Amino acid sequence: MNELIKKLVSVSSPSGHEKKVHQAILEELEGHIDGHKYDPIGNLIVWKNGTSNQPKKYLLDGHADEIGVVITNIDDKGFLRIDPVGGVNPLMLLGTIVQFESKTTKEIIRGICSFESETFEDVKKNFQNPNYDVMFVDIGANSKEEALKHVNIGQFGTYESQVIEQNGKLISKAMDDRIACAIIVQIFKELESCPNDLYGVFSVQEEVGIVGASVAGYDIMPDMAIAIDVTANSDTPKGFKRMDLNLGKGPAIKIKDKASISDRVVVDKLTQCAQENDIPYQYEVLLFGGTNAHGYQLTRSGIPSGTLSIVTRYVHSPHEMVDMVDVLNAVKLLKKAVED
Amino acid sequence: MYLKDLSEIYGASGNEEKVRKYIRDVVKKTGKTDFIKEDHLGNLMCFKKGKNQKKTLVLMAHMDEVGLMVSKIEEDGKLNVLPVGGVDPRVLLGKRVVVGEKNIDGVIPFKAIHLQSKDYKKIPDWNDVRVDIGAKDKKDAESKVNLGDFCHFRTFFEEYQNRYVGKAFDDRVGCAIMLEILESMNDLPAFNIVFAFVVQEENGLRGSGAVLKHFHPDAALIIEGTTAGDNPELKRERWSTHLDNGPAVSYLQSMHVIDRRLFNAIVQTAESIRIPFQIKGRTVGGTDAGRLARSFYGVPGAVVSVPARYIHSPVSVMSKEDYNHTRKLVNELVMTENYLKVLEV
Amino acid sequence: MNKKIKDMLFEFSQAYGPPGREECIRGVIKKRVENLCDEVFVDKSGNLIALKHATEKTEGRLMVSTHMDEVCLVCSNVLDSGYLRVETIGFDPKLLPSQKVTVHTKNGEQLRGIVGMLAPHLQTDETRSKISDYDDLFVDVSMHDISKFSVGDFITFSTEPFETKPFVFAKTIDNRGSCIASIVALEYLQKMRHSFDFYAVFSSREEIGAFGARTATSLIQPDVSVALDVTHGDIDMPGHVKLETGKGPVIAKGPVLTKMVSNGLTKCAKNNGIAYQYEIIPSRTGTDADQIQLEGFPVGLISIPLAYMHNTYEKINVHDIKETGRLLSLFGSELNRCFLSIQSEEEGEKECI
Repeated sequence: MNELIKKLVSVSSPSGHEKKVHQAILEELEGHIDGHKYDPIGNLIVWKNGTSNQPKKYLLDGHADEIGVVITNIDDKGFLRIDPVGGVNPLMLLGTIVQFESKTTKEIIRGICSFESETFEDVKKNFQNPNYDVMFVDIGANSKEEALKHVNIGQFGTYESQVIEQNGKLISKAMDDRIACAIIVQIFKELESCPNDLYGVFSVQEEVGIVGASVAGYDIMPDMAIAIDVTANSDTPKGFKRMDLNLGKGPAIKIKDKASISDRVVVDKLTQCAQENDIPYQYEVLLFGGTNAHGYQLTRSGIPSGTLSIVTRYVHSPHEMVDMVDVLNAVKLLKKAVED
Repeated sequence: MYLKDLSEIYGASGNEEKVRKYIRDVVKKTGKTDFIKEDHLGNLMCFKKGKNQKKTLVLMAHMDEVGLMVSKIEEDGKLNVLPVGGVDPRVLLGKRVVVGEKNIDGVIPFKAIHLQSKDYKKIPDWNDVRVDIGAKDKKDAESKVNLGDFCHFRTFFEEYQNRYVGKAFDDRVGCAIMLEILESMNDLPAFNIVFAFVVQEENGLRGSGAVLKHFHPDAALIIEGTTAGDNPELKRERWSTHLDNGPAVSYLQSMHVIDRRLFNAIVQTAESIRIPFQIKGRTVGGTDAGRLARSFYGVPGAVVSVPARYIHSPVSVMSKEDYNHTRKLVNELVMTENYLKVLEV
Repeated sequence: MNKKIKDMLFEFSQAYGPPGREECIRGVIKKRVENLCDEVFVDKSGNLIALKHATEKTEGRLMVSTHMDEVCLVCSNVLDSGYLRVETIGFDPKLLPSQKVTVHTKNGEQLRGIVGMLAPHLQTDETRSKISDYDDLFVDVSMHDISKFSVGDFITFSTEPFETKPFVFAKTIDNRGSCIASIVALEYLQKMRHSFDFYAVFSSREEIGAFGARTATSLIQPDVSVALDVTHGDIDMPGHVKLETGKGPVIAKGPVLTKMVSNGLTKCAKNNGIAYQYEIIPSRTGTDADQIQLEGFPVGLISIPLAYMHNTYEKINVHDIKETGRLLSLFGSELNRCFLSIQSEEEGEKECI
C-alpha cells in the first residue's frame, strides 16, 4: 500500500484542480469498481453494488484536493505574488519550495518563497507577522516575459513533492487528504464482494470550504457517510495538552471538531467493529478544524455521518507524517464496517 | 438609462422590493421572456427558452446593496443604526441617508472638529454613529420613522466621458447589464437562460441557493461589481483590478475555486471577440457562485465583474468602457454555445 | 397553565441532551407531546417531529422549530492523575471554577466531577490577575476510577432549578423554554380550528450550527416557518432597545426574517391582545431561522426574553413562555392559503394561489 500512497501524494492537485489525482485514482481502481461518474461540480464518485437482497448504502469520503497557492501577480523583474488556496499559514512558506507546471514544457517549475525586507525593522516585523502582502516567490526568472514563458496569473501550485519512508512512518505533502483516498482505493481493491452498496467519493474543494461534500451525497443519500481525513496530534514535545491524539495508537474515531459532532450511530458502529475485531483505536476531540462530515450531515433531510481520522503530525506543512500502523488498521476497520 | 435608475433606487439586503419592481416592469416591457417567477424570499427569475433546450444557463446578479437598519430611537430623537452587509463606519461620517419607506432625509454627523481634542484620531465605531432626522425628541422621531426601518445611502448618479459615479454599483451593474442583454436579444440564445435577480447577497449569500429549487441549471454565470484598489495608497502588486483594463475574470474566491473549464471558456471567448479583459488580482470576497456550488445538487459557476472603486460606500467610481466591454462579453457567453459546451467533457 | 410550564421547565432543564446526543431530552419531550398530536417520529438527524394535522382540509404546512440541545463541555483528554481536560460547546469558562459537573461516560454512567480553582492562599499576583481559559482549566474526577472516562465523554453542569415567582432559575432554558412554548401552543390548539398542518419540530444540534433545523426543513418543505429561541433580556445593550422579561414574546425583524411572516406575527399579536416586543437583527440571527432561510423557505423568529444566557442558572418569566405559546397557536390557527400569495407591489393586490 505504500506505493499506492506515494503515487497519490506525488500528484499536484490543489483545490479546484482535482482532475489529475482523479485520473490516478481511477487507474488504480480499474477492475475493482462497478462504475464511476463525475457530478456537476467535479466530485469523483465510484461504486460497487452490494450482493445482498436488501443492501444498505455506505459512503466513504476522502477529499482529493490539497492546499496550495495561486499566482496573483508577476512583477517586472519576474517575481511572483501569491495568495493561499486553503489554509496555508504564511509562516510555513518561508524558505519553502512551491511548484507549478510549466504551460509550455509541462515540466515542474519550482519557486522559493520569501518576504520583503527593506530594513532590519521590516525583517523583524515580517517574521513576527507574516502575511501574503509582503511575500513573493522566486522562480529564477530575470524578467516578466521570462516568467510568463512558464506560468500565468491565476495559475495554481502546491508544495513541492518529496516522499520520505522512515521508521514505519510515511512523510510527504498532501497526506491531507490523499491518505484517505489511498485508504478508500485499498478498500475497493481488497473487498472482492460486499453485501452492501459501497460508494467512494473523492470530493473536491474541501480545503477552501467543504464545497464538494456539501453536494456529493445529494443523489446518493446513503444510510451512513464516513469521512476519512487527517487529524492533528498531541504527541510531540509539549504538544497540545488539551488533546490526546497519538501516532501508532490506531485510527481515531472523531467525536467532535469545530465543524461537526459525529452522529452517535457512526461512533457506535466504528467502536463496535474495532472492539469485535481487535483493531486498535482512539477517540478524538479536535479543538479546531473540520471535515467533510459537516457537508453530508447537512445534505437534504440529513445523512448520519461521522469521521474516521488518521493522526498526522505537521498538518498543512510540506511534510505531513503518518504511521502505517494507523493507516492499515483504518483499512481493516472500515472494511469490517461496510460489510456489516 | 437602466444603470442610472438602478443605482439610485433604495434597496438594502432584505428590502429589495423597489429594485425588484423596477426590474420586473422592465422585463415585462421587453416582452422577451417566456415567463417570470418570484419566490418567497424575493428572488426574481425570468425564463427564456433557447435554441438547444437540453441545457440551462443561469445568469445572475444580486439586487441588494449594503445599508443600515434602525436599531433604537434615542430619547433625543436621534437614531441608532447597525450595518446590513459589510459597511465600514468610517465611510458614513458626514453623509446623507434616507430612512424608511417614506425616504425621510437624515444625516450622520460627527462632532465639530473644533471640539475634538483627544477624539481627533479616534476610530469611530457603531456606538458613535447616529442618524439625525431633525426630530425634537423620541416621540417626534417615532411619528416619522420606525424601529427596524432600513436606511440607505443617498447618492445621485453622475455620468462623465469615461466614468460613471454613483452608489450600489455592487451589484446594480450586474442587474443593468442583464436588462440590456435581454432587451437587445433579437434571436434565441444558444441554450435556455434564466435571468435570476437574487436577494440578500451582501448579508451572507442568503438568497441565491433557493432559486435552484425552481429550475435545474447546468452552470451559472454571475455578473458582479467588484473591488479595484488601484489608488496611490495600495501597492500595484496588491491591486484587485484596474479601471479601464476591461471586465475582470475571477479564478479563486473566499471559500470557492471557480470552475476552471468555465474560467477558460470566458478567457477564450473574450480573446476571440477581442474584448480587453483582466484577470482579477485578489482572491478575497465571495459571490453567489460559491453559494450555488455548495447548495442542494451543486452547480458549477464563474464570475465576470465590472471593476468599481470604493464599493460598499456611498460613492463608487467605474469605467464606462469596462461596463460596455463587460456587457459585450456576457452577451457573447449567453448567445453562443462556448460557455455551456465546456461542461460536456 | 403556569404550573404546568414550571413543572416542564424543572423537568426539561435536567434532561441530558448535548448537540448530537439528544436521546434523553427527546424522550422527555415525546412523553409530553404524544397525546397532543396525530403523529410523532424521529428523523435521521435526531429531530423529534410532532405533527398535528389541520382540523379541516389542509391548506398548507406551518413548521415551528425549537432546538432541544444544550450547551455543555466535552472531555478532550484524560489524565491518569485523576483529571480531565475539556473543550467547550458554547459555555463561558469564567463560570466553571467551583462548579459541580456530571460526566456522562461511554458505559452510561453519570459521574461527579468538580472544576476546581487554586485556593486564595496559594495564588500569586500573576495567577490572581488572569482569567482561566479552557487551556488552564481541569475537571477533578479523582473520586472515581480513571479508567471509566474517555475522550469524547460529554459533561453537563449540575444545578437544580428553583422558582421565585414569576421567575424560574434553571440551566438550559436556552432552549428548553422555547420547546415548552411550542408544547403550550399544541395544548391551546387542541381547542382551535386550524387549516394548516402544525409541525412542532424539536431540533437537534442547533448550538453547533442548526443542523437539525436545516434537514427538518428539507424533509417537511413547510410553507411557513417560525423559529423559536431565546434572546437577551433585562440588560442594556448600546444601540439596542432594552428587552424585558415579563413584557411578552420578542418578534425579530431583519433581512433573514421574511417580512410576510414578521408582519403576520405582529398583526396576530395586536389583534389578540398579546403584548410583544421587537428585536432588530441586521445580520444572521444565530438561531434555527438562519438555516431555514438558506433552505429557501419564508421564516420568522420569536424569542423569549432570558437573562444570563448560557449560564449555569438562566432566568425566565413563566408568563413570557405562556404568551409565546399562545401567540404561536393563534398564528397557526389564523393561517390560510391567502397568506402565501406573493404580493404584487404595482397592483397592490394579492393573488391567491
